[in-house]
Amino acid sequence: MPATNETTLTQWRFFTEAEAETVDAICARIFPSSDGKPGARETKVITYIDRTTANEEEALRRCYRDGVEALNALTSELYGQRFAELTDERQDEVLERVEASTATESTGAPEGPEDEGLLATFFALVWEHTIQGMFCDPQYGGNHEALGWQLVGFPGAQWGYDAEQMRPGFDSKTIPIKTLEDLRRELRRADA
Amino acid sequence: MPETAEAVVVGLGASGGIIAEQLTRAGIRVLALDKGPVHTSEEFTFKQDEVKYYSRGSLVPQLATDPVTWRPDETSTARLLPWAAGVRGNSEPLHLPPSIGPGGGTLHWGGASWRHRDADFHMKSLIEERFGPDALEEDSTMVDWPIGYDDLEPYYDRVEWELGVSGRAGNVKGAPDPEGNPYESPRERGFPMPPLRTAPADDRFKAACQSLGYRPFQQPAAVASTDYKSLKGCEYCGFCHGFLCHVNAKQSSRITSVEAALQTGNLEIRSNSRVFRLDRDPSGRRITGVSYFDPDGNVHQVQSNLVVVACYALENSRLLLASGINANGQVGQNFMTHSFGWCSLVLPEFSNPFMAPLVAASVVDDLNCDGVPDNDEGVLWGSVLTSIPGDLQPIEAAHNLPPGMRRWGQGFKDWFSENYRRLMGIHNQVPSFPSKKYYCDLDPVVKDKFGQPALRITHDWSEHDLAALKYFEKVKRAIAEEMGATQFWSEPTPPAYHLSTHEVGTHRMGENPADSVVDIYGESHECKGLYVVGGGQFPTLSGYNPTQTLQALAYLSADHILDKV
Repeated sequence: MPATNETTLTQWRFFTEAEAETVDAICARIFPSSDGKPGARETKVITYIDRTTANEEEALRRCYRDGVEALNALTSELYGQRFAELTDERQDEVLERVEASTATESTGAPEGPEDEGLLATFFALVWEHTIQGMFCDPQYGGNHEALGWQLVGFPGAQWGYDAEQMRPGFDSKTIPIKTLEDLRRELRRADA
Repeated sequence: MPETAEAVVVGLGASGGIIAEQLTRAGIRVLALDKGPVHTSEEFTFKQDEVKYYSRGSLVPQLATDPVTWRPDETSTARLLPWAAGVRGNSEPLHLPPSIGPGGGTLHWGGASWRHRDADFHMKSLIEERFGPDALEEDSTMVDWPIGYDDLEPYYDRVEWELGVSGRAGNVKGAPDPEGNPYESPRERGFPMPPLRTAPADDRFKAACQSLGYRPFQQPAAVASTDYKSLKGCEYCGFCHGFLCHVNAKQSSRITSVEAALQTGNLEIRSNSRVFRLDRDPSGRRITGVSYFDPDGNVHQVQSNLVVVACYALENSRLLLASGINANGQVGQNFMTHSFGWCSLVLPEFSNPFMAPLVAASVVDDLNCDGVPDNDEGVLWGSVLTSIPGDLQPIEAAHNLPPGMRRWGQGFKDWFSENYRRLMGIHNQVPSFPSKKYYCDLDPVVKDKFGQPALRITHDWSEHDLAALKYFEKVKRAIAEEMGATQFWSEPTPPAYHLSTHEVGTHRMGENPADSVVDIYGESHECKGLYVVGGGQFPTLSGYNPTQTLQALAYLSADHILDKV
């Protein structure tokens, strides 16, 4: 399939197109790509989250649905735009505000407006899923082409390491990255 | 007609596996019931999967199926474990009860394999002699062990040689070896395998500790360094603690004891079978069998006059309480756990923390047990200090960032990309002391889907826990500085979680039936033929990890059942 058609042909398993746009915009602020190195977008974190959420329990799915709605309601009120339409700087300001409400919640102080508690939980959930989507095995839909592992120098699913590789200071980026599918293929080949 | 069995073992983990093997080898036909699944060889082979095993905690029981509640004190209302409940779930699976299914906790464990020191069996006497009779708090329920190191030495030896432990001995029959642990109590012989190759950053840790005057040595590991019996030599893949082992290097009762028991032809395993009641005769003084739910929720009964309950300190206690076996009120009392002190370092060179098992590392034992120096900070008992140079995958690493740093955005991305490959950890664990304030009982409200009551934990960190965590934080910081770390930080202390997979003490062993639950062989004082085994038997917790001691106790229980002691 030509890459240019990918976005339009995507069939989300859980998200609506509008929800995917909002969540994708959050993920891109957690792991941005403006430095030219892979971030949440290049590793397809949104695909990981969509697939994961499709199989999750109702409470988690509702947190995504309600969280997206509450975030867009907040940005509409503040700036008259949906979250995804804001500039990067504005998006960061909003997320900082949302994260600050987490801090209030965890100190046990009286909770703010109901939406703030929901947004704090929602952002914490998206953060968890973004980290997972960046560094999961690619079989889960994220860490596309192992770009997340490449970014941090993690060689992925290995059978093991030898004494030379275990020397202090060894450059792990010289070890070819493997995925679980690579391991499966190796075993199939060995069996054949 | 209910089914009958010569012996029933509930839970095939570290203890249950050993006892099942010893009984079946002696010709006893054993029916084993385990509430977890049998993990397939496919799962073992392709375990290099952090999302499955870390993020989703697929080896451990989940709160939805196995609810546990916690409250800090009696005035609070217990809630489902707040550090693991909610839509975000648990970012650290080992803050829940340990893994289930044949293998039990030895599926997930890191393989830290320690003998207690002689001093650990006399903690109370040693603390009172040194710090005075009022050193322990008023509510303390601490007692010395009814057995000592010498009683367990032959059983420690069996764990090391029958199951397989790698390491270097420091004290064989009183002869010191400077390469081994200078503080260990005398042993009859060394280990059957040499130590593992260490993870990359360990050299730096060891050198720093030596220059500070400590005597580091490589920790004993239940991970094979060479092929040994049913174990294969480790390949250092780095997916170890929390993961299954793809080469069977990590000692797990699933591949040692359970496999050997199956080969006798005398073991039948029923997985996904959840025992919910221990059945007794009308007097209540003798076990008659167990009742369990099959995977479809149907109730079954098995009659037997020998039942071994080996499903962890927490579930053991829950099962006794749910069965009404608690005449003296001692079941669930004396809850103890480790308060973990994790700290992280960034090193100037690549440490590649994703290589090697968690335990392919050095430790400092100078400050453990009664070796903790005189101090004005109220620290009565010490802890082992462990280098953690390996077994760290990126998702877990992203959950432990320097405090004050924003956890997202370009700054976070830069920091993590630059430093993931330079991380390493230093760890210590403070044993909590038993107290009237800390215990488990049945939750009056929360039940599982079968209508069985959840376990409720009442526990908070004591002043001693806090003092010891603070003391060891300074020690770790000094080591990190000596190592040339460019950054050093500690996880928040005390920990927000109160489960460490090192819970012990809740069915204490003792000679007096009035103030303990089982005898030194693990047999219930109240109900004959019922053995309740595992870390729940411990009168006190050590600064060391508990597994090898509970494995030694399992061999002792088996010998008693077979009339050898």
